[in-house]
Amino acid sequence: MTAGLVSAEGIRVDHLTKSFGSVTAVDDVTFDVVGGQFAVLLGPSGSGKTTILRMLAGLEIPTSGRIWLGDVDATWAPAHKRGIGYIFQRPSMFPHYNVFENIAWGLKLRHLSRAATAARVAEMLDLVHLTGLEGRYVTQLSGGQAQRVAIARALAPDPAMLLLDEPLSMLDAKLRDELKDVIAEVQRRTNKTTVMVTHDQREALSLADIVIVLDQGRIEQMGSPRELYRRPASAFVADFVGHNNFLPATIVGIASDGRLQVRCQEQEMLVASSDGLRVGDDALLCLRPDDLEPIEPSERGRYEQTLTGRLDQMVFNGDMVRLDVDLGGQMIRVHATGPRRFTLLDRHPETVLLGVGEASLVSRS
Amino acid sequence: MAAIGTVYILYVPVLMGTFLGVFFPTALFNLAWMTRAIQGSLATADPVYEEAAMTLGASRLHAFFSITLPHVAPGLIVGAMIVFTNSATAFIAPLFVGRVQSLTATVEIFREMDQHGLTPVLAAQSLLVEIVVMALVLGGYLVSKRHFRGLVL
Repeated sequence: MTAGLVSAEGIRVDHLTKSFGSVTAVDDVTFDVVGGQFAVLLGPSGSGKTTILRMLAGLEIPTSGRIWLGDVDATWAPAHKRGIGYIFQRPSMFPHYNVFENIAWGLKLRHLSRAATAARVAEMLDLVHLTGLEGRYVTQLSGGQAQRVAIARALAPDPAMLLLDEPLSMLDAKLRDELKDVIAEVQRRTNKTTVMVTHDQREALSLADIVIVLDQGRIEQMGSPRELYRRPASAFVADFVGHNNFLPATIVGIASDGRLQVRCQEQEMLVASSDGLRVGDDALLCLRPDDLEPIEPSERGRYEQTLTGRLDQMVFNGDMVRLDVDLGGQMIRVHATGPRRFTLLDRHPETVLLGVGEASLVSRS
Repeated sequence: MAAIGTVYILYVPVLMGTFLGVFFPTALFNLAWMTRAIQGSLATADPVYEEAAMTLGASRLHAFFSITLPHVAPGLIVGAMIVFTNSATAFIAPLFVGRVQSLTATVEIFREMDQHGLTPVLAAQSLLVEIVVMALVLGGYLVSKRHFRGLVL
């Protein structure tokens, strides 16, 4: 089946800018999505992520820059000729058609035979686990079911790529997890180039092959979820993706293995070097609460580096105990998990020794 | 509204007693009703449906006719029913502006009554007007109800 006039494999966005009056929503954004990849545009509201997606879909016209879908310059192509499937944040199931008619809608435009349409709709219903609900109208469906119909409808004409605009944000937590799995499964099974917009870093980390972090219309960092999490390029990314403790630190030297020697709260540490940081620079040391482990002095050997702090208070959260540790005047959070958390709660020591699993540095500006 | 609508006739006396002369004030009067009726439908006609249709391969025009128009159709039909009832039984504008040439049944009934007083024939005529209007409105309602199951009506 043809996907439309423009067939898209990869996506290339080249110096894309979009202004609404005097407001620049998207500011000189350039990125590539390899065919078959799952890319996530991650950012807070107002970061321009949805505007980028709408420009990819042809629902918004760029102020300047180019969009390439596959080998075709699609910057000015109208939405209906791009061969895309688009899932909206708001419920978009046509209210005057039932589930079957909704999913068949795109197929009707492609003049498929009645039998082929029925077969394709059945296939799509199976993919999103909605078989048996063909005759329902939107008022007779739950929010999650309606969103799954929207996914099936977008996929039915076999688009070359899939664009999702915060498809999970309107749903409650349980449905969100369920639909997240559906989206991951659909992407895996169809292997379509996918771009999803979200402000939820968990969604981004768990679904994406590549995450593009946006802030105020600009790209802050681009990389695999693990890269982003372990080597944030800026304080914004370090803060936005996952929880983080920030400690002012000074770079005092370079170790023989190339790592940076960092002085922080009267204690010294070695941290993998980061772009653009030199000896003498002031930086922020990022320590994730999950990458710090309260240990016994006898276990010192398990960690290359340790920090010592005064235990201020502990909060029991069930599967995790949150420790507020005073590190030379700076308060940091530590998450203790496993059986050790009960020992800690029972003993409530004055000072704690923290094994440092991972640490990263970002520039202070 | 009908009164406002009829004032113009002072400036364009040519239209006195013509079809257009009655048409304008009636249309003006009914405009308010029609707007009110469609407003509800338009409020729920989220542009997202049209955009969804376009990403599925429909041109802007096709998206309007196949998605937006059916969506506001119940409002259009309700509006049409009200306007039809209003126009079929219009009295003030046809009486004042229509003058000699009576255009609606109600005006005709009024004239008859004016000349001959209340007769059984008039009562029958009034009832007939009512039945015809009721039947048409009910028919319109049933037809639209069948066509727009998914929408509130």
